[in-house]
Amino acid sequence: MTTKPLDAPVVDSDLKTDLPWQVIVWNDPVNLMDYVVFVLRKLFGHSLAEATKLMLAVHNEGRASVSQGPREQAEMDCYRLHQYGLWATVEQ
Amino acid sequence: MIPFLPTPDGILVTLEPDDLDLLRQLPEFLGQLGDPGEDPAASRLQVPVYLDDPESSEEWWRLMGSELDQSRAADRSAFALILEAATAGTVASIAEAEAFLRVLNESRLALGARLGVEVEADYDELPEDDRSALDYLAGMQGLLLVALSIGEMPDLDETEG
Repeated sequence: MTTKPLDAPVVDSDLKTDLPWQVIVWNDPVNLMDYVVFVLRKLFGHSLAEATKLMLAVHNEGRASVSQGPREQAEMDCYRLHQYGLWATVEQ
Repeated sequence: MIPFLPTPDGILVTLEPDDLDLLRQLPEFLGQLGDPGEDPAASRLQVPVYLDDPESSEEWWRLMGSELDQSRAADRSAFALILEAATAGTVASIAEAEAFLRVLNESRLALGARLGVEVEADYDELPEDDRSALDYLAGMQGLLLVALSIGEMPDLDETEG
């Protein structure tokens, strides 16, 4: 056992502070694929192709990051997704 | 009769009496959900926002929850107003039609949660009446999505080009 302070976690923590926050949309057995595409286009201005790609990632992989940025923006995007009933969470 | 038709001013909504009878129940159903934790429908509409951080989740819901409730209540009011005028046909603005869409979706989420649909396989095992109710709402939602998406057609050219 040692009492020597460890530097590494401090560095990790600093790096994490700089990481953008992610808004994750999760797969859901009830939401319609077309509806998810519509919402992603409506809220984030994606093209039909981009929104479809994200929707398929949610459907096939269980989740997809649909927006990245500062925490406040991520929380607001999450709110807008919840208004439309999508299952959205925030993580860094 | 086509329930949702795009027009230059929005979406023309025209509903049959049978559809109205069913759809009129939705605002009341959604307005009378129980507490999250006791009612799966309420839990589905109030999921944690931070999966690994219950405190941040609670804080988010404390800050945003009442605004979201108000927004959902306003959607239900818009939905009810459209239904009142939909026998003869009424043009809903795009914003009103989107509120209508959100109420249809929220109803399916709440109903699906009450029926215990947690993964896609659960849906296939539902009794036929329950599945029909979800399918009926999905059909309505799909028709409204088509009507709302027609104004977006130019984007198809972009993706092809």
